[in-house]
Amino acid sequence: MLIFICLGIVFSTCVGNVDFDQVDDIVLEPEFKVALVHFRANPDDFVTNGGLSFISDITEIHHFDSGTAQESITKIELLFEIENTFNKAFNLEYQFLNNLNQITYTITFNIPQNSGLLQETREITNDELQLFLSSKGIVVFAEMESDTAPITQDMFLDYKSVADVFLRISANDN
Amino acid sequence: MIIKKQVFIGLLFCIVTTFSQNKNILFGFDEVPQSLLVNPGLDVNYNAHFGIPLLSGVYVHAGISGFNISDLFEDDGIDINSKLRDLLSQTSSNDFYTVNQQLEIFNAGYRLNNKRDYFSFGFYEELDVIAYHPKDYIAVVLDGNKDIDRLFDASDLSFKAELLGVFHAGISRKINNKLTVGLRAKLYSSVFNATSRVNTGLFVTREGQNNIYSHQFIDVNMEVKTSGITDENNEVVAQDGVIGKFLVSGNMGLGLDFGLTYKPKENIEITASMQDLGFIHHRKNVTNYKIEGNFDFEGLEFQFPSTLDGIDYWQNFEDDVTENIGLDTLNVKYTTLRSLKFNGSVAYKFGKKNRNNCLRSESKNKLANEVGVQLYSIFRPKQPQVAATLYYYRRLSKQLRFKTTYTANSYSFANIGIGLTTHFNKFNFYATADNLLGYADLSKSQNQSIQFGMNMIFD
Repeated sequence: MLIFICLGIVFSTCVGNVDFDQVDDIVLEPEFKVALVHFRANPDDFVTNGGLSFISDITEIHHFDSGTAQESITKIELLFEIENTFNKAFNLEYQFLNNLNQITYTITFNIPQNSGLLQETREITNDELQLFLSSKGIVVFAEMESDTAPITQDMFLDYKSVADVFLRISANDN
Repeated sequence: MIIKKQVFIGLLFCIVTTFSQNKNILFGFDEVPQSLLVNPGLDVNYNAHFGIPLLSGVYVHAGISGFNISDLFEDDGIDINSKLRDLLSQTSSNDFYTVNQQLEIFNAGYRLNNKRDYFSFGFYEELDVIAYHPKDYIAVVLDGNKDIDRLFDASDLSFKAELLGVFHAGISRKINNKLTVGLRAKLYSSVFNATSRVNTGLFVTREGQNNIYSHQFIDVNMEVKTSGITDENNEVVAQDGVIGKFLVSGNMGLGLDFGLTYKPKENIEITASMQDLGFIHHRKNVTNYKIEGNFDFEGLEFQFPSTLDGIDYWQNFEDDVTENIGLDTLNVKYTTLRSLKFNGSVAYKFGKKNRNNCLRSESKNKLANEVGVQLYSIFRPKQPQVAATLYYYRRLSKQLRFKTTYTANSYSFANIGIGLTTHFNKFNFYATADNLLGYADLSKSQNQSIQFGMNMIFD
């Protein structure tokens, strides 16, 4: 009798109206905020060569090295805040390099003298995105406009850069 | 990223087929020798028993708090991503998933010559897992750190998983007609253990001073302790010699169970027990993973004027991470406490006296019906889980006894269980099932358990 009761329980057990194929429809779309490069350049920081005054530096980056991340990133928004208190304009280039030190992506800003706080965004999607994601390094090059206006020590060029990285992770991406 | 569907569903089932350890039906089911494992102070009415090896005690119990399968997978036309977010918002970091499974290898007992002591012993395997809902970790996966000033709490990671073998031997002593007390000693041999109980720390992305964002790891102190999984060289040893590790693993512990049965009147019975007051000392194949410190990151700061050699900013960043919140891998011995469990009950007996009993040694005056209330508690990493049970017991015939329970616990307030035990000559078969209503639709159930076994009982 006991065995029949047990079997009765087992065979009367059921799983309701559930559909596990809904897993295929799961899509995760997280957004990650990532700080990239920042600096403050003062007058003494600039190198003068052939009449041009500039600053330039380079760093490796490995933010996007993961193949999984590269597959899932759908968009990157680069955000910049730049403030120039010099009485000179700047030509500022933000270059991304691949592992052969070839430029894969360049962003150029023309920064007026005494610019105040400038906020810029660049949206990177589609074909540009793949070039960008292959980047292994960042170069910042800021060239000062050449004129004779006197520079004082309290002047500076402030540069801030971050990225908002948008991912799309789907159970159905096979 | 690719999420393998099978893995996802498998993981989900692992989570949902998790188990608590409340053997509320077995507790007080005096005819079943395995109830001595829940209360060593049982008033034993037979003279000897042995379990059918490997079949004397099979126990599995699954539980999940906060939601059920149906909440996520019901075919209701609602977008699963919407349901996923609803679940995340309705679950808290105190919700949990727990697994407990036990398999008795052998179990036997006999009455000593002094007639008042019943000695029992045995060996069983146990898997015990509890993981709390890692709410903020899941929030990072779902949404990232897109909300400025959103604090992510490291303490949401809390779990314990262990597989062990348990030798046990105990004595139930009848002090007088009213009082029986019992004690059981246990020797634990841990096959593997992974524990992460008290983690602290915050992660937040805020507006920075020198850059637009500042990523801050604040007072992070996290640790995962493992034994029996990797050796000192980080080589995986979990699969080596598992059978032997159930017996002697090098990670051994001791424990005690206590229990009593008090019968102030013929029709009143009070019982209480405490199980697994014990510890396991982990000293072999121990690997601990620890992160401790503070770290602020506002991005890579270019420093001018540039030097000829240049500065390796990325390497400096990695060095800073390692120095401040790097993952340390250690081999430090540690001790874990077993999950302490309490049971207590008060019973009122009534009805016809037992005149026709298969168990001849059972009291001839035992009443046919019994109603009572039971309380159960198990200590878990964050907080105890408790359950209250009302039950009714009846001898249906001379071969068949029946117990039904109504339990309110961490999972639900409508949990009906049933237990049956048969006695044909010396052969005993018993089975219990908890939360019968859940079997009607497992996808809506948060808690299921079954236990069954076979014994030979001698009067």
